[in-house]
Amino acid sequence: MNLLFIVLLPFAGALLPPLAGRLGREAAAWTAAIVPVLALLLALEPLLAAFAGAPMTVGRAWLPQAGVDLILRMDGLAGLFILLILGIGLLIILYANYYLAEDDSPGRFFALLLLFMGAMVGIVLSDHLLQLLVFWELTSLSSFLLIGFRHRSVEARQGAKMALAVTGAGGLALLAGFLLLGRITGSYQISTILGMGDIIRAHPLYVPTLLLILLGAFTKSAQFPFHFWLPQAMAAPTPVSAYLHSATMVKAGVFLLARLFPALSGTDPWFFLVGGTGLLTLVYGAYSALFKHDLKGLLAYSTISHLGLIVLLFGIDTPLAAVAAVFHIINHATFKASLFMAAGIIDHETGTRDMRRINGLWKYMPISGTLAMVAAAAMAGVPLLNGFMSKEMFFAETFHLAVLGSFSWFLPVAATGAGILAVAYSARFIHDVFFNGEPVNLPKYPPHEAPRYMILPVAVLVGQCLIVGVFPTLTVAPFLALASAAVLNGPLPAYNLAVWHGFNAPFIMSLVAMFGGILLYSRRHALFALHDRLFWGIEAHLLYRRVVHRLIDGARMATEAIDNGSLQRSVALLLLAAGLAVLLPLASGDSALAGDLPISAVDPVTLLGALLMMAAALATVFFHRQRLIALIVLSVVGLLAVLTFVRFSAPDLALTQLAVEVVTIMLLLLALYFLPQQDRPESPGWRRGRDLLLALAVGGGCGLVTWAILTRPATTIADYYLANSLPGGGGANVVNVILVDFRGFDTLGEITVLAIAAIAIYALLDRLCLAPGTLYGVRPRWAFERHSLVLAQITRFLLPLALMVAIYFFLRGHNAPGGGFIAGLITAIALILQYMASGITWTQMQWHQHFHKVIAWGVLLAAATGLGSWLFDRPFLTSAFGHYDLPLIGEIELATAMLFDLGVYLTVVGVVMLILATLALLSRRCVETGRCN
Amino acid sequence: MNCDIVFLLPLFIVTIGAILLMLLSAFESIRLEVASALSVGIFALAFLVQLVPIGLTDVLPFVSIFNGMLAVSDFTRIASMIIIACGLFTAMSAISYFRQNNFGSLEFFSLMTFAVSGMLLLTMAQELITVFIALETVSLSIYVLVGYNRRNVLSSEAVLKYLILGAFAGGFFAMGIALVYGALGDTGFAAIAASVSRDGLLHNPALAGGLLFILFALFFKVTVFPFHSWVVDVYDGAPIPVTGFMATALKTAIIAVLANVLLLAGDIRESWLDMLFYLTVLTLFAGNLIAIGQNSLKRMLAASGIVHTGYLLIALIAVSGDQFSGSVILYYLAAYAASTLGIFASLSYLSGTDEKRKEFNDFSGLAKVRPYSAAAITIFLLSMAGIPPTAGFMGKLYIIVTAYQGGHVILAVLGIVSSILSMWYYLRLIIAMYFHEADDLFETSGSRSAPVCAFILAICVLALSLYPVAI
Repeated sequence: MNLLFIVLLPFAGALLPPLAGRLGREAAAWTAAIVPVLALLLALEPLLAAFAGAPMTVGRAWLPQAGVDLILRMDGLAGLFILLILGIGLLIILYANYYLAEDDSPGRFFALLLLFMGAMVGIVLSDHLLQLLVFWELTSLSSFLLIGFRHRSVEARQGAKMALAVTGAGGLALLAGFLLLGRITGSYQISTILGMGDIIRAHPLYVPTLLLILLGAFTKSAQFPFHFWLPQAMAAPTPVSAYLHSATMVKAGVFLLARLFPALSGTDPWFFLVGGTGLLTLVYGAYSALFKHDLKGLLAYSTISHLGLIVLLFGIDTPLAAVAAVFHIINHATFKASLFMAAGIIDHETGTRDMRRINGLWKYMPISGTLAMVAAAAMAGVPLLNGFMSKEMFFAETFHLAVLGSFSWFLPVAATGAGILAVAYSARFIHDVFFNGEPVNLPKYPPHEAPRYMILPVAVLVGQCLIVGVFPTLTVAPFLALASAAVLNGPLPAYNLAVWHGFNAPFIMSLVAMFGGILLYSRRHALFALHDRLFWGIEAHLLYRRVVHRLIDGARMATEAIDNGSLQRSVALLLLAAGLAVLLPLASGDSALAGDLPISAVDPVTLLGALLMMAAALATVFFHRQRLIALIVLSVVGLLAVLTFVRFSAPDLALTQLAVEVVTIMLLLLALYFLPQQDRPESPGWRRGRDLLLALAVGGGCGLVTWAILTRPATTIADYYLANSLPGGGGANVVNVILVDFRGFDTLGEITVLAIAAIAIYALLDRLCLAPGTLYGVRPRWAFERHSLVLAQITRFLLPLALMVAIYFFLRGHNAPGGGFIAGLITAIALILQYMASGITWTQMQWHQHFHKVIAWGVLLAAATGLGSWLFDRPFLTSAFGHYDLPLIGEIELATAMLFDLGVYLTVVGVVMLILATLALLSRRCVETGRCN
Repeated sequence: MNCDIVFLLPLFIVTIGAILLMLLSAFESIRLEVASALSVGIFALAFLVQLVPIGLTDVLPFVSIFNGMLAVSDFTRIASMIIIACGLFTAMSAISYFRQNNFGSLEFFSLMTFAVSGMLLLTMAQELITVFIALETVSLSIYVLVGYNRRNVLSSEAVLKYLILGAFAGGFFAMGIALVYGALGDTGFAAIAASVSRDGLLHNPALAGGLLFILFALFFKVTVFPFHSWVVDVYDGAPIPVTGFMATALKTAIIAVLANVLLLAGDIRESWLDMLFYLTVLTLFAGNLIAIGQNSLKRMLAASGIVHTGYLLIALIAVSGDQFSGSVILYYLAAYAASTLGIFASLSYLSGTDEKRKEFNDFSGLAKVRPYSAAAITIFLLSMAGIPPTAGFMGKLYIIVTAYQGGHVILAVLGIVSSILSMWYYLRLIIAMYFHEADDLFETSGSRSAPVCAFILAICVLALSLYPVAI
């Protein structure tokens, strides 16, 4: 349980500083400081458990389907890191309390810091790969916010973005690597995986796995060539740099190497990849650090270099080297955190970090100066300080490489070279800043000693450097042993933490480094000139920026090319896909196009009809710019479709189609009133050619596929419906029974669609006023007589007749062609005629009904009928029916389906009338308001 | 026992609610708030009813209704819940939106509720004609919702494009049904699956062509490359709540249909695998490319929607048909819906009169002026980008892990790469909100309902990530 609280505490605690921040900076800092203190107390018990050799574990299911569980485990390595993260975190919080400027929001700062702390704690405690990744990405994210904390500065924003892009992308590579690792081992639990090193190393996927995981670790730990984000991240407030780049963020990468050391190490790829990268980074970082004029820049590159050293130690791949690596992790964390804090003090007191201006500070700030010098000496590897001890171990390990064969001299030489550079840049840090004459043109002059509580955290850390350097066995030894045992996942090698090992090869290397470094520093002016001549302008971060800009420009151009918003192009794409859809299966040759059935004979009338239909369709396309003609030809197509239904004995369909055809053409004619009657062709010839080809391909394809259907034996569901229509649905008209019974649910859906269409049109056209269309910009003359008297009289006479027909069709619908749909359409046609002949005013005077309501009641009635059958525990829309004898009319059948049909009827009438009324009102409203004239 | 009505109750609640709203819209005196509240009530009721898995037991996880025209399972139940929730939050944001944009009318809520009813039907449909009718219900309502702002030229252009292209897609679908029926004499998914797994897809050209037509029409609706071209303009032109509604509810419904079609029988999926694979890859990258180039927030979100579709396609490819629970698809849909709706709810509130704030730069410095809104938007964006500890991250992780375990290593890797690319455009807004100076007071006259939505959804995004077991 403790472990869970250690992880949750920083996250929960992150909520407090913003609240406390209202009471001032102090309050925010103290509430923030409580968190690591509490967490450290909580960590005591698991730490003791780890010392006792029984690491504590907590597990919870999280997303078990994806194999993500919450498992926390605190072994020695995790324990060591917890101490570093929380301990240095506490010091940083105290330091930041004094460091933050007036306009920095303390609440936000400490909240972000705690968030980051929680993510780091999560990483080191995770015993599950994917869960580790979650926290890993959280550190990327929270560090992004921390680096960009001073968001007014452009550098801070860009540095933050770059850090996030590099480490975030690395994290995703890591995810891929973890997935592979999970596949190899069949488990995501780290403690299980650690024991399966042999299986992993022998697996064919080992190299890709290793590469991906290393990519994640190297981006995080700023290894060459992914190092460039770290110097850019120096735009962060110094406490952030001190925290992120000493003990936490960048250490996450090496932590991962340490964590997975037993599982992945021990192979040639590991040695060359890890060792090679480490060596390159070590030398490159040390070299670059020497030439930075920015105090934090120097520290940034030295951090890169030291991380390279740690990585190299893991790469050397001996148990002793791993111990040295762990040792250097601890040492680097302490001296680098204190150095960054010292740099922050200098920046704070002088207002600049440029080493060409801050000189001779020792006499202004002796205490801070002394502390910084001791820490820098530790960085250089001066004896009696902690940096010396791990460096000695490193030098000693460079000799044990049989793999390199005759090149085995190379590593010690390179290590000594890096050592020389490290001494040189440390010397520069000490000499340039604290001696070397007087300060030049400082923004704040004269500098003062920093406040006592700002120096305290530095002093604590420097004190550790000293104590560990002098009494290693009394202080750091048990922790080192504990953590190293966890890294090696096996017995510890024999090593000696004594300060004095005798006059041996590592000591000689240290001496060479020491004197060489001082010599190099003394010749610095010549060296700087040479460097400026040789290496100007090769800056990885600039390269990165250029690549990013290229990418974005490329994306914009690609968007322009594939997505320019042209409707024609979209339609063409759609049709192309459709053409492929029908033609590809035909071309694939899996089956013959034509089936076995012979083609039935074609009679001349059918042929004529087909030809006429094709001609009319072509004419529609041809005349599509003259809308009235196009509409007339289109109605020919529709009427021929009606005849087709008749030809293939589907009278119901024919009737419906006929009524629909009439209504739609009428409504279209009304809409035509508002459109320009003609317009000119705009597409160039080639485009019309392309469109023709596309149309032919799609049409031809559909034709061929239809051919394929017609020449194969068809299975039909007609028999089922024919057999069941009368006994099951009580109707002889199978089509109608299907509509109102078998598939009544679909019909209900269909009339809902109709209803939607109607209110859609209403919603879009309501309160809108449109002018009549024009012909080449001129209003055409319409008929002289507004309402023809003859037509008006005839239609008035027709109305009752039409209604009779509608009722007739409605009643007989269940057994003969007809039904609610057709009846509704016929009624609608009769009503439309009234509108057309007598005008809207007159018609609405006769019948003022809100069509919304008609539609709604229609759909409700249909739905209620359907639901009603459930009350009797029957399936939806099962109809009950009975036959009754009525005087005069004869036998009539009444079925509940008829109620359903009535709903359909009402809806259809309502929809058509609503559309009509809305269209008609458009122009009348225009006349009334006079706006559009 | 006949308990069809129990399974269909949410559908009927929503449909009858829509009809009532239509009746209501005949009365001019009723205020928009009333209609909004009523639709919220309808959705809440339907959601609660759906929450209880009545009749679905472990023994009977899959119930078919109406001779197999519809089927109800845990998959459809949760998909329906997502859709209903989308409707609910859209109704709430819409009322806030219409306070500042003066073109709302009562029909809006009726149409939206109709659309939801169609979507509910889509999730359950097991038969092509039912799918078609449901699809028409949805499309028709959405066409109108997209073009609701008649005075806006962009909006009109958007609806015209959508309508014409949508008509083509609808036509393909109808043609596809005809071809499938011609080839099989049946339109049920079960019959199609049986035929394809027996004889293979290419055995009958009509069946293959018909099914491809149908798939393409569905792909059109969920913006799979190369059927995506409408989406950026349409999302941009539609009123903000409608865009959010389309991006979430519509996508959920269509993906449910695709899951029903493609995953019904284990073998049928195999026939599509190659085509789906290439379309997925193209969709992921086309979406990212288009999104990177955008300056307008709505357009970026539209393009990023294409990318999310790509992820859902990965999930469709990766889940195995034999033991299909669909939880990976549903989880992603829920996570995506919560974040997307959240961001559109926030925009409904913040975009101001006539959607005057729509570019990335218009939201510069939002964190200073409205820290809570900025924090909520950040949570949503992080979720969409797939950064922990949000639901979006878990969703992506779940999909990638599933793809990987299903042996689709390339897709898993591409999913990761695309996630990296997508960070660029999501973080852009976060950077603008937090790292730039405010030159706007972000005044808004929207009602508090949209911020309430955003608040609830932000909690959902975090809760879904911490307690994913719920789905």
